Amino acid sequence: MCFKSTKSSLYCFKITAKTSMISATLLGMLSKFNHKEFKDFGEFVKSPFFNKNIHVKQLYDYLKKFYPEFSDKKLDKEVVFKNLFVAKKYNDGFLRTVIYNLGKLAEDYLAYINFRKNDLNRGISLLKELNERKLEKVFLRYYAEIEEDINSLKYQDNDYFYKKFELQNQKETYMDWSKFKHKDFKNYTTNTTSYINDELTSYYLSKALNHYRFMLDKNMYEQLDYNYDFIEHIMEFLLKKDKYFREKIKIKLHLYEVLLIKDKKHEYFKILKDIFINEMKQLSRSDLYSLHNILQSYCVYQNYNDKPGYLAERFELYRICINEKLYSATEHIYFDDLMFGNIVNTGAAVHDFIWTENFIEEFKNAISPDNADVVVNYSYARLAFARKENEKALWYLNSIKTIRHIQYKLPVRDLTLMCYYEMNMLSQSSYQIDSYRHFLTNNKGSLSDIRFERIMNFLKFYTKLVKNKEKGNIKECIKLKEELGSSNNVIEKRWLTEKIKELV
Amino acid sequence: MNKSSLIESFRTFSQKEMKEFSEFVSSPFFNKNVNVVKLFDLIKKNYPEFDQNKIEKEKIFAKLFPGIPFKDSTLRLLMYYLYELVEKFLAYNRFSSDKFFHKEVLLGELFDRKLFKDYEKIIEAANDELDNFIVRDAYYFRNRYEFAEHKLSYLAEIYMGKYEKYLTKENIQLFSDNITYFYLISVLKYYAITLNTMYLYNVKVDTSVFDNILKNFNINQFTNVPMITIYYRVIQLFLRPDDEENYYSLKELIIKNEDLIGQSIGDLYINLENYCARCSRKGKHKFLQESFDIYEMELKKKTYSQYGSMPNSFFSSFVVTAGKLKKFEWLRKFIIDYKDELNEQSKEAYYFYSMSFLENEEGNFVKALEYLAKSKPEEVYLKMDLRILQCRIYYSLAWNIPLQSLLDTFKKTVQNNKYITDLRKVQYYKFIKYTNQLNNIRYKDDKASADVLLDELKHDEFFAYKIWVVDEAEKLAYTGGQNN
Repeated sequence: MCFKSTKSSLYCFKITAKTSMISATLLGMLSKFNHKEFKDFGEFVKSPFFNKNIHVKQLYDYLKKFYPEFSDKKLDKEVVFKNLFVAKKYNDGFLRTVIYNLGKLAEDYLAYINFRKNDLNRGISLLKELNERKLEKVFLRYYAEIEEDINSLKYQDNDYFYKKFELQNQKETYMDWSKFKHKDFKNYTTNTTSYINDELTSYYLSKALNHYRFMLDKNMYEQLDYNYDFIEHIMEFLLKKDKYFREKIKIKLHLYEVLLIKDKKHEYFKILKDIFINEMKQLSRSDLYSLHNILQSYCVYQNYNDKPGYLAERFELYRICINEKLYSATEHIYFDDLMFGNIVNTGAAVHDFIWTENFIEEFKNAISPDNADVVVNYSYARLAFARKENEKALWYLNSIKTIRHIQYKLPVRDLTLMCYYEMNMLSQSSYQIDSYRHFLTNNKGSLSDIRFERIMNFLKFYTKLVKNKEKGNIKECIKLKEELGSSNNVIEKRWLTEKIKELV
Repeated sequence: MNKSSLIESFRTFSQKEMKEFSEFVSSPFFNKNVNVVKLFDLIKKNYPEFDQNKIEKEKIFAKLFPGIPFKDSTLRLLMYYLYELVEKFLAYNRFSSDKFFHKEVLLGELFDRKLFKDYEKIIEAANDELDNFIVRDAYYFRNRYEFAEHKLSYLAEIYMGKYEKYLTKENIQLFSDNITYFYLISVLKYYAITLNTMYLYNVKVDTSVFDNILKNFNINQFTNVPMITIYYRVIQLFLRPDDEENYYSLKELIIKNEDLIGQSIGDLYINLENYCARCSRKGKHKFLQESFDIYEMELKKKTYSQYGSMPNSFFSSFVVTAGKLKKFEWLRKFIIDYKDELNEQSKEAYYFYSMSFLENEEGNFVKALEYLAKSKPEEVYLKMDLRILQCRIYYSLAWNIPLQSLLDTFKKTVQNNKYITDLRKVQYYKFIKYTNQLNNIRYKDDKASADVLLDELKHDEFFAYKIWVVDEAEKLAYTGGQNN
């Protein structure tokens, strides 16, 4: 409608201009300020140190009226302009500059309040400045204070090592410029540079090993054809020649995590489990969360390889994890929904039904509201299935409204198939198998190769199981039992084995 | 008030900073106390001299609170508040002057508030700025991996669980490579400093950890990062001192990659200088000219400056090298032209020592002694150099008895000083021993002893001023002790 004539196009533009709100980025940012921050920001804007532009102050005062929603029609650019610059002709470019400047100030404010929050960042910045200005007396006083602050940090993690490195660096700089003042270098501490290298190496090792661990854990190592020669060389050094760095808890943790993921040896599992149980207080919540996941993954791996005892290990680890509230990566967020399902699976598998039921009851409200429906219904279904209450299990599964994550789409389908089998709903099973295969083909890219194979194996054996149940061929069943026995990477292998045994 | 931390801090402020601080104090975001603003305005008037009489506490108080009796605690409290603002100002200045640190801190806040659009914008801006960086030092690589890590955290948040979406080779490489480059440059640099310190200050530091890390370290893996190769070669200057090829390769690398090196260039030239000095001491005479060339290059490029002044060691080493090479005219001009670039507190000592050194080399011994008397060094090695020069002047003036006592005192000083390295001590003892022998031979007019001394010198290793001692011994052998 608006591209027929130049006139109407112009008109259309005018309409657009009239209805265009001022920068959504700026308003979006301001809307995330709490009341105190918004007021504080007002003082920031009015501080000549940060801003001397009167129009920017005026814009802030104007916008203040619409905080926090910022959805009023009066936020239309032309209206804003008219209010700020009475009787002046609308100038979009000028208004945009004022908006941009207020946006920059909002960014500076956010950066500053974050800087202000971190005492150590602020302290080290001040120390650098005092050092550069050669304000020796105050420098030495602050140096001691900051050193004490760093030493009292709760965890000796990357941040701790880096801060120590920065502090030693300042000491080295101080000694460098002040040495001419000290007769015969009496105050020269020769070990400063080796302390620097100690902290720096600890920082590097903990950070680089953590990254390497992350890559290995996510199975991205082999797929990316990336050169890890240097970190491998460092690992060799740590294992064969070093005793010092390896004993630092954060480095020890990541070193053995890498080794467990790569070599899958029980001795590494034991070391890590010992860290998890006995050295918990020295590690941050996110480190413990990752460690727990790695220990669980190793148990899962051994379970798939039919190694006994790992189901009990999993259950024990989960119980510790719950006691220590390690069910989310960071504080104040929801219970990890995948972990929730896995805990229920494990509790049901070790037949501790009461504990599992209590667990669901106690923690179901801690799951994110977005996923609570699927997680809670699946969990009850799993528990009911373990108790051989198949109808009840199917009822829970049918109660699930939507499944957002692929991680839940798979176990829900698996459990549904198992319920069908138990309830002799074999025709439903065959429809479900077809649909499942179709789904997997479409979503192959979202699954790791090993996981994809694991599910495909389940479908293969499940299909054969159903056929054998229909035909009742014992020879075939024995063959199937042997075939399943020699296959490792199969999901729900215990159940499949049990069902084949029943047929035999 | 004059000696307070507050005034001491203001003394370090530039005019521009005083103006900025004035705005800082008047900013309601930082300060709402009008008396603090008034106090600063009063102090500001006395910038930069801060005359003790004008900033007496009582006078300031009377101007702040006219008609009210002086109360020290009130003023002290205001000074405390103002000093708190000084600290905030200094910390903020440091924080905002490092644009990458500023961005990094901002990212932390944006991430917490889930303002991802802005977050992405800031990362892109930082990476664009880094792309335009010429210097490839530890600072550059640190920022590279920091922003790569921020990007990974951000992608992990928006693609929760879908690792294949963001764990691309490029993203991983950005983090992994750059953190390793940062680490290696930094660790090699400090390792080199450690080796240098061990050599200079006679201390033993346990370096086994770093020796082990480097033992199987393949430098060829890092040819794309010249700074790593450069520092690796600096370390080899200490570990393989006879490998002259390593020195020349390092020198070539430094010159070739000057733009990539940035502020560290000064330190690297010092390492070249020190290597040349060590070689000269061992009797490799060609390294004297090599030293001079390095110093001249530094002078031309102005890379010697440290903390705003010319390092004393640079100045004195240049003087000695030019003197030994007999570039007298050049040297006189250098001393006069550059003495004001020396650190204020040691300027006089170095200037007079250098002038004395030059006059002695030119044969003006009395003048040399006059200058020497004016030099009052505090640094241990300059003290030793001064003693050596004094011995040489006394010898040249044939002041035999004063020379003997001077040598005795010198020996005791060396013996008692625990901060001089054993290597240096041996060199000083040798200088004392041979100068003593020269003095005795000349006194006794004994040509045969001069020949024996020359033979002994021929077989002895290099020590401080060996060339001078040999020259003097040759004169005695030739004249039979009649040169005085």
